[in-house]
Amino acid sequence: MAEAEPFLSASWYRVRHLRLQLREHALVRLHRYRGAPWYVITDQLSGRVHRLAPPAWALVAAMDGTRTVDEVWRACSAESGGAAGGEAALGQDQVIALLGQLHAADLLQGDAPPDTAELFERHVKRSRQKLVQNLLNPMALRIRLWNPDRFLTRLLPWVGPLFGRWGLALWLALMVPALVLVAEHWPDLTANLGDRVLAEGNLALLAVVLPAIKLLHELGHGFAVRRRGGAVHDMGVMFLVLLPLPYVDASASSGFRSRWDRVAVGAAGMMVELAVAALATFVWVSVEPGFARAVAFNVMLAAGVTTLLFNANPLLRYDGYYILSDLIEIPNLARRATQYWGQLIETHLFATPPAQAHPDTPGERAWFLFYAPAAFVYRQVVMVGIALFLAAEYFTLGVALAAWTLVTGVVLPLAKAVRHVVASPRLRRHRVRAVAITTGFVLALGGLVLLVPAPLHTSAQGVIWLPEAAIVRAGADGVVTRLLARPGATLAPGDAVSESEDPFLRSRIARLAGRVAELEARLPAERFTNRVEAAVTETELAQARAELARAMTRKEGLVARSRAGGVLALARPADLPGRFLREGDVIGYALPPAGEGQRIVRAAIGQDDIDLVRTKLRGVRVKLAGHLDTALVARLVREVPGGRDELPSKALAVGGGGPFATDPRDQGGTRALSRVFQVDLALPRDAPAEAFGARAYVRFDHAWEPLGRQLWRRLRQLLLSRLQT
Amino acid sequence: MRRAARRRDGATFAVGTPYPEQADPKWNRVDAALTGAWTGLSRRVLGPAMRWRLRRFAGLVGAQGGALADLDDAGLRVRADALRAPLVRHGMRAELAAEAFALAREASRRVLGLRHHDVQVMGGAAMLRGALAEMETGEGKTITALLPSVAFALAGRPVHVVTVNDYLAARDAEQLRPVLAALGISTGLVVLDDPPAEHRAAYAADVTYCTNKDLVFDYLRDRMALGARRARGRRLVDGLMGGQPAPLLLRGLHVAIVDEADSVLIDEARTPLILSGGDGAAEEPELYAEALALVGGLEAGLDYRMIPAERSLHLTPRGRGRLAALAEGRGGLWAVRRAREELAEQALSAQHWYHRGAQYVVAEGKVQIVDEFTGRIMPDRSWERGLHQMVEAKEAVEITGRRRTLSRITYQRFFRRYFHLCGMTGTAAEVAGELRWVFGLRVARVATHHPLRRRNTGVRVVADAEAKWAAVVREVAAVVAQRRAVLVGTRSVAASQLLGERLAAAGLAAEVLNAERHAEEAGIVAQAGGAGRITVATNMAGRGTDIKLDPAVRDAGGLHVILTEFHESPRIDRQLFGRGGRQGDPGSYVAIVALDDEIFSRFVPATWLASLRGMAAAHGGVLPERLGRWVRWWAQAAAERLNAGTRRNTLANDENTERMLAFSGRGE
Repeated sequence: MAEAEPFLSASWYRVRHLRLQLREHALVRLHRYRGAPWYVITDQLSGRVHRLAPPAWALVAAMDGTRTVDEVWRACSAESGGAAGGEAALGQDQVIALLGQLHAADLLQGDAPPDTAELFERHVKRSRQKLVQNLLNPMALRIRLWNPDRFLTRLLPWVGPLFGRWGLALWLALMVPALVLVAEHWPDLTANLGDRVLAEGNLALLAVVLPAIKLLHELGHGFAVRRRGGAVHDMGVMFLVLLPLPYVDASASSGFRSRWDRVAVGAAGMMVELAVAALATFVWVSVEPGFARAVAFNVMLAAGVTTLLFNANPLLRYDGYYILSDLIEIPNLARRATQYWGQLIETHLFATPPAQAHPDTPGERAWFLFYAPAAFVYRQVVMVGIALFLAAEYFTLGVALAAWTLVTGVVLPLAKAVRHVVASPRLRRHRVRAVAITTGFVLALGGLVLLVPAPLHTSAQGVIWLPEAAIVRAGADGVVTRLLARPGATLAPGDAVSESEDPFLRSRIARLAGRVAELEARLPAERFTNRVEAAVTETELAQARAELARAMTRKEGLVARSRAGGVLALARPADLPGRFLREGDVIGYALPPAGEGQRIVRAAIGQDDIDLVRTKLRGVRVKLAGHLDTALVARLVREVPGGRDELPSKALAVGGGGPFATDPRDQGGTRALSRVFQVDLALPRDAPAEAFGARAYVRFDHAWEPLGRQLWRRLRQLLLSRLQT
Repeated sequence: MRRAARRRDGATFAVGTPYPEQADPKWNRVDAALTGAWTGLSRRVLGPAMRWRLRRFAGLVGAQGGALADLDDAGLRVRADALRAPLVRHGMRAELAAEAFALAREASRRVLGLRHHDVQVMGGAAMLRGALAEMETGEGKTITALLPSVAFALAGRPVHVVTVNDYLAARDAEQLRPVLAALGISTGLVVLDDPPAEHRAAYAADVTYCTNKDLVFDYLRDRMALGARRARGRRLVDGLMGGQPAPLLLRGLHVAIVDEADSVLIDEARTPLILSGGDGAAEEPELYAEALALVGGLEAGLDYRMIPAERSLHLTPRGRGRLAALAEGRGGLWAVRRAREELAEQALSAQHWYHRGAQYVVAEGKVQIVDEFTGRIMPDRSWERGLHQMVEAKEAVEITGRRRTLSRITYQRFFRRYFHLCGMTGTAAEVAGELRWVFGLRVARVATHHPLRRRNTGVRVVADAEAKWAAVVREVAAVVAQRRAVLVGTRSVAASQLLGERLAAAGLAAEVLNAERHAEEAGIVAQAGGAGRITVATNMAGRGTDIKLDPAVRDAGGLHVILTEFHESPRIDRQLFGRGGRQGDPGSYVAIVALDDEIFSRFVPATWLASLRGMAAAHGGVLPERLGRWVRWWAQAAAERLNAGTRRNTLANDENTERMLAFSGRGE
């Protein structure tokens, strides 16, 4: 039951006698947004823009400084009375609000002398607002420095044409070959990108290049506005995440009639940057490695990548947002989307529809529905990311900023929402319902997060590992003399693979055999002569025999045999003969043929996840690199005890495409920078054949637990690792 | 002076006003919330410290007083005159203020025979410090106000003593005029119907007694008369240029001492004060009759929904459709959707919420508004936005022209413009936080001079009005049998008359005191303390007056007060209970109310009421005491919440509107 907004206002007496008119510097143009007419008033002095719906404009237009507000309002009401069920007539309160708005924008002039005290007060208030804005958003402090209008106007004759039709053609002519070049040199450009960008010398270079490029970017906006007749009065420095960057106030573009003009202003900055990046590409391609090339690379990076990553994204309030809102012809998209959501909640959940619904078209509503949550979530993610990044770099400042961000980004909006629900007079009639629904929602959400178990899984990577039996090892120390089976041959269990020789062993066997023979010969004689001697000899004989048997076993061991059936694989078969192998050294592998034998995946787990794997494991699923469409149910067979820093395979290092960063000083390339835990997982028998060492993606399913606990664990680990405490 | 002026946080002179007043303070919500919270705490933490300071000051006054007792009347006058210059030069220094207090005390003793008790001096000292003195009812607040009045008047600052009704203003002025005169201080009394010249003369006096409404209206008239050219500088220039600047009524907003401050600053602050002027003929008299006829075609519940707690109603979407169909073809305002819906809502309100005899009466062919608060007729007032005309159309009297608002102001805005605002009340505890953040007033609790001997004999909640009146009659009979006096408070004139008749039927002679017998008020009150005396009064009547008890009645247990309907705030209940047991007299009170009283039907869900009725029936017709207290608490808490919200909104809207109306120039 929306309350009808009163048609008559108790404050009317304050305005009825005034004779008002728009000031001369107000420029009015008829725009069309999504087909509907709107009157846009541009303040040519300040560049600010106000949008009026036709009924409001009818009233403002009728104010000529000779008729009183009351007369004008009556005339307008009478006129609009007939049309569309009188829907369009403005109530007195609306008229007052409208006039108040115009006055606040310095667009009204009346017959009464201006109230100077009020003017000063307004000025003070406006400065305060700016300060508050800066305080609320410490990640983007703005400091106004300069009015660039004259500068832009002076340069316009030379630079202006670049921001018109021909400029666009030129830009395309620049971009196409540059893109081709980039595609050609893609691997060069991206190789080891992270390391190159974050190297210290490069950061210094970037810090010089980035502001320069952003200055060009902003001047691009400025010229684009100026060329289309808008004014630019405000330029300055914005500290975006403490990095000083220029900004320009191009809001005058909202006064342009054509949406393409507005889009052009929004896009001009990025186009300038991309053009710069294109030029840098040409330089980068043509010069030899050196300082010039490094600068060119950085320019490409700063101008190309940051533009595409930040400016073009419509979910943040940068260029992309303005371009989007111009393209879809919804000015103030973000604010109105938020309002629309508020209105939806109040109407459908709190049963308090607004007195006057915003006149949104269905197309606009669709955008609102999508935009507000998407932008909110994205913004929070970016904020948290920035805060964490800063916290890692500068601990105290970072944490303070992170806390502040949390307060302004999450706590304040929430507190505002709560206060609205608890105290807004609009909701008074349905307060109980509103509070109940809000509380219910919060409780439900809290319950969901803190109490309801949710699936929990961690992922890891591993490599195909072999069962111990499939490894062919040397049975005894010795020099390999020859291979008894070729690599690739199919072996049965017990088949010989190689033969080694141990010269000492041979002589030792001969010696032992001789001794046994000697003792055997001596024994029968002594039995008759000296019974005591015979007993001693008998013991000695048993000892000698045992030693001989052991030596014989070692001799047997010189022929290495496969303990499992399979296809023989040897690392370097040609090198084997003549090599000395110790007992237990790996000679080769008997790879089980598909569908036979038990195969193992050895997975490497980071220290963050090992506890979950140890204590809360419910199941393991493995996908092999060559067969990503099938998930195999595996079983944890053992954990290699103790944390180590050794990776089972290079494939698990960052260099090999795995998740673990390795120590660059390590020759083998398998020493991880953090602790790694290895576990062995047995694959099912029907697992598809995959080469030893092939990558496997492992998913550990854990006992379900509430999202809150999961998040908390991750947050704690993140903070602990990021903040190095 | 400067010290006193500076005590209010950030007090500054208002710009663009003809006479001194304080600029509207700029508060933000954080300040307000913090102040509100701090006030709650500081009452407990700093209360003792403040009382200690006040007591020390009272000691100082007592010490100064000794020397004055020996002076003759002329000598007293000389001392007072001698004090003026130092007070102007040095401001309210403690020793100077103490001397002023001592002079006032001595003058009061000589002229009235009433010497201020120490607690009264402490109350006066609290007011001198810009606080609200919270004193038990019956502690002699009238002469307490005399103390700061004298101090400020001697310091040359015009003092406005603000009371809630003309009777009290006149009584206080008459009582204190000789005392003030003895000290060479002139007294003015603002009487509603006097011509402007008399008002001006009254405000020219050192101490002016007036009602809150007269004061605010005079202030608005001043601003109206000046229009846009009201800054002091402009007036001076106009005078120099030979123009005739409009004469002003007031001399500035210097010191206000508000009696019954919670009524004025809180209860009456819900609606702004509006000065209006009609321009005679109605624009479209037939419009209202049409509207009344049209809404006859709408069904309650379907086409519009009524909200009893707010006494408002709203069209449903279906109702809007119906209305559009009904208005089809009519021109003018009917074609404008919002105007049409507003007319319809006003017409429906006039039919459902405004009843002859309750909200208004028809006298001399005119609709006259009855103040629901005091039960008095308010001549020359009218409802806003066409409602008044709608009611006139309903009563088929001549439709007056829409009275055009000329000027309006809220009490919050007005009283905050005083450089020194202070006051007294018996009941401020519940609203201390609000007083602090809205008006910057601290509440200082002052102990009673005599120990309190007022007994609470309970809350009796019965099922319906019939049972209630029967119970009241029984109660009255029982108390009268003990030769005590009884005061029964009713909420409406009608109820007081009904009860009078029922008592008469039961053979009990009762004096009925209500707005219609205003003239006899003093006489009736004077005798209300007699043995076996039964007085039935609308609650607001007799406020601020003492009921003097016969010695026999005092011995029998004093005055027994019966409350027959709870008010929306427990404060007002306490004000009624405070009629008895004054100044150490014994007394008792009881509440006998019914579940169908308005406050319950508005603020307690109907289903609960039904089950409460069942419970009452099960307990012999009376709700168990604890349940009765609980339902009272519930209803009053809900009502207070609603009213506090309304006041907050009034203030917020006021500030919003002011911001929005910046283009229209300053002022009301």
